[in-house]
Amino acid sequence: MFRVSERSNSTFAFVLAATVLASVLPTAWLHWTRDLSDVIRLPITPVAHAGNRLAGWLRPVDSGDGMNEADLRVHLELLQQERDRFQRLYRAQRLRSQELAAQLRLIQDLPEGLLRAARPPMILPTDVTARDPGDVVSMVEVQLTPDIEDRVMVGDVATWLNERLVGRVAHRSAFRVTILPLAHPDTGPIQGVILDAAQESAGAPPARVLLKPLGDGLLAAEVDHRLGTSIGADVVLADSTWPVWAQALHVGSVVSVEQIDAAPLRDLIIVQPAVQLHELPHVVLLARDDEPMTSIEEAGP
Amino acid sequence: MRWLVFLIAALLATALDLGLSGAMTLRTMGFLTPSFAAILVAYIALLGRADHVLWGAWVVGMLADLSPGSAEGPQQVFIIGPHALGYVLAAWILLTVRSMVFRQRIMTLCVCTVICGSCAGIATVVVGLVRYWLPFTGGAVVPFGLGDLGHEIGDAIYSGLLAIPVGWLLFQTMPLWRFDYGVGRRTA
Repeated sequence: MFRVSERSNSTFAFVLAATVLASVLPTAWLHWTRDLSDVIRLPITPVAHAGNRLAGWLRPVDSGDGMNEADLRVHLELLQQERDRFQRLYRAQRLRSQELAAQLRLIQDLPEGLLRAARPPMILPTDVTARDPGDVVSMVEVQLTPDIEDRVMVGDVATWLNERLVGRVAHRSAFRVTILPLAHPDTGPIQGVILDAAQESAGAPPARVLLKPLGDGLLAAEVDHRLGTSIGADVVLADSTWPVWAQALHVGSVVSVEQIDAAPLRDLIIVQPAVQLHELPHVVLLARDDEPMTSIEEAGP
Repeated sequence: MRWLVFLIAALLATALDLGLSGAMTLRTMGFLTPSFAAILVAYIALLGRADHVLWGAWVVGMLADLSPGSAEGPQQVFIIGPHALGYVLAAWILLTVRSMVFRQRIMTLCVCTVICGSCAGIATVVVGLVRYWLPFTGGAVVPFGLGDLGHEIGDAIYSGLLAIPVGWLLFQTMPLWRFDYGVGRRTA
């Protein structure tokens, strides 16, 4: 058996007892731990940030899926063509919606500006400074740049490559911005829409689902069995409790469809996000832009 | 043991656990991730003075519990204990058995790292269970269950493998640490 001095032993026993007590304190009494953590992060964060960048460089999440340079060039051209096509469609739809809004204003005698489209969000790329790489639903902290300090609010969304929804800002202080992953139990249920090619070709409206986080990085939902949801179908956000600009962002893909024995008319689907927040070395935050619109912006394209 | 060297190593290990260890995560095997902090605790537990080891293990555990990114629950609080108690438990076990092992062998460090990681995992699950059972703690904010325990032990085994290169590096820095560990079984 090892020996320690009596004085050190009694002090350590006291500290250990205090630690045991702290470990079972109610969460409502643990707000002081955030201040302690803020002090501890001062020397840790710069090194952790550098480590995250190095990890992102060593094992990139957005590698070209094994494509060589020629394949990538062809892929890029296809993407550019798609972008141009969707830009045209977007402009046409925006003009149409403005026209409909004007008609509605006229019919209902609404004041000017009431049915104005939402401003596009501020796009704020930032690095992840702290995460738990082993915990699939780990909250992450991002670098607090002046832009983020001024603009980001609780509830703003975090995306990967401006397309995939990965989380939501859960906490913001002078020292840190914490993002809660999409599949974290505390995020709560999310409403989405299944974009299934088979259903779309049959002319059926897309199925709406209520996705519940399972706590292991996956989301589960029940859908009508008759819709015949297929594995691989994409799920996008369609939830009015999330910001307007987050709607239709990619949530994940269906990885499992099982008929529920107790309710044979329902299927249990499991949705897996394409990327998990804790894997990413950097994210793009979409924040509310509160600056007043200029007349050119108001006029639209 | 030189406390300044230890503090720098502890902060570095915590920072590496939050950043660089992501490059070593086994994404297809349940996101198993090694821990540099567990290696550091095993290293000081093998070579440090008993009271220094216990305090050191507690400090590393507190840093791990309070590190950025480990906040739990909707209130974003940090639960003190899972690592602080787990590493102290591991240090106590290693202090008890270290007189029977070859302390300056990398393989010894590997096995001790697995013990440290496993103790931290067990402590996490115990704290999670106790918090779940007690009516006043605010619910299940610390993960617990067999799956979580299995994941933690997987992390511990992976940390043991990482201890081979990191342990070699740590043994090269031994003169900096100025350990005064008395009489123990040593290799020639």
